[in-house]
Amino acid sequence: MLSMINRKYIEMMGHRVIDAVTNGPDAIEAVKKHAPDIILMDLRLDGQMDGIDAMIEIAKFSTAPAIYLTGNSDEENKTRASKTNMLAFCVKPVHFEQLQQLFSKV
Amino acid sequence: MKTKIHIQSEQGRIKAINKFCYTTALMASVYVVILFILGLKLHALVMTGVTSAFLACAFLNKKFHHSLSRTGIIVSTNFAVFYFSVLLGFKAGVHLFLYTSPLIAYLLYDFDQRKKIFIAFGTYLVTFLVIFAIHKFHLIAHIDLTEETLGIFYVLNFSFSLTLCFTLIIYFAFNNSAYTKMLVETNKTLEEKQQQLKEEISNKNKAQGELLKILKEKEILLQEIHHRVKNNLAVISGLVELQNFYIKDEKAAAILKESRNRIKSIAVLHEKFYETKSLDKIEIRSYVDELIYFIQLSFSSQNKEIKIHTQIDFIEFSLADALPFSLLLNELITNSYKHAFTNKEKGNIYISLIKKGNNVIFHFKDDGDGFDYANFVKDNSLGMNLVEAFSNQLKGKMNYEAKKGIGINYTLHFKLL
Repeated sequence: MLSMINRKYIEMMGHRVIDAVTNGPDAIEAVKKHAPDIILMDLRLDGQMDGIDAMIEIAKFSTAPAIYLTGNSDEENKTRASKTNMLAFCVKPVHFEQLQQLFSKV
Repeated sequence: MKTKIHIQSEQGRIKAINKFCYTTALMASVYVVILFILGLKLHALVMTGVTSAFLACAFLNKKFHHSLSRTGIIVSTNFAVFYFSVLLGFKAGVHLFLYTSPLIAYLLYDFDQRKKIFIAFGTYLVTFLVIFAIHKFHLIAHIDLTEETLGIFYVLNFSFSLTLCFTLIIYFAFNNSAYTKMLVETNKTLEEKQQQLKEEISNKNKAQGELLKILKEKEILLQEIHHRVKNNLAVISGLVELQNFYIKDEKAAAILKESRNRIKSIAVLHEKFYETKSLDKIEIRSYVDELIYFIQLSFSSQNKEIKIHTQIDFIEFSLADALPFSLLLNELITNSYKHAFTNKEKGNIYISLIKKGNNVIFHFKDDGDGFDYANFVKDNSLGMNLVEAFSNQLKGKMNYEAKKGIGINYTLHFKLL
């Protein structure tokens, strides 16, 4: 539900949502295929890989930064994420204005 | 502290001492008869006195004068042996009774009373040495008895002393066995009790483990509830925000934005409760910082430089206090953003929360345009009504001042739940 809302926010800002996937391997493939400008990455994904692990793999072939979305402000994961190409580490739900501000940085 | 074994052992000892007294009294009475037959009436009387002394010692035990009884036995036995050794001479063999003296000392006193045993034995040793010295150096003359009479006395003394010796040995052997049996039984009882205690402790630990497990599950459940409430409120807030994009009317959009912010302030609260370890209290400072951030973000389109200054003590709020406070704070900040800086590009908001014991002083102030509060019709403003309602919910004493050109000054004194 929240991802649907985020999608709408992005569209209202005038941008396009190229793809939406639920697990790490699919995310890697999608980035390879579509070469997005920004990745909205949930920390918790289906399967063994989490969002940070997926971004570590993506960083090998893409410079697209990630806006990480998490259910709670986990300091340990924030530290892990900061070592990747991170644009922001946001606690869900994300405000429209917040996304607007972050997208304007790229 | 005396244990049950000690008490039972002591009672057994007293019984044995009494039997010793009766036995020695009986032996002494035999000597009384012999002395009377030999015409030694005076000495027979002395022996009668010794017999009475032994019986008196048994009587003293019955009256619980155990210490006196023991002393009486030592004195009587020493006296009897000494007197009749000197009277009859060494060859009569009266001194043979002194060979049972260690057994007598050990009969009278417990092994723990080693000092008393040594003193008792010491008296017998001294008596023997004195008798021996008298005999060796002929210090005192003894009565003249025929060899035959002396022989009878020697046999009698030898037999009686040997009998006494064997009786005491058998008593100690039996007592040791009884004592050991008592110890074994007591040990068995103790082992059974220890096993019972171990089982009880194990059961208690198990129950405690179960309780901790249930408590942990409840904590996880409560945490999950906060998380889900937060997510659900986030969805509502998001949907309201999306709805806002489809509204053309600016006033309606602003109203919807205020509603969204109210929902958001509760969502952030539940997020803080989810994060906190205590689950029933939150540290209000971090909540206020986050709320201010989101409200500032929601009004960022105004493009005004409004600084929010905070001075917040470390205060823990329960959910019952945090909920009305969060909505109150949201209302005050939103009102300032909406109305205080209409004619200004810059402004300041001051928020302070001071703790004094269990009381809190909440102070909110802005340096905005202000308004004529005295003539203000509250019915037209949901925001003002909500400020009053939430202040009342906190059961606080509110003071609201607003003047044109000066800004607003709000204070609330309330007690934490």
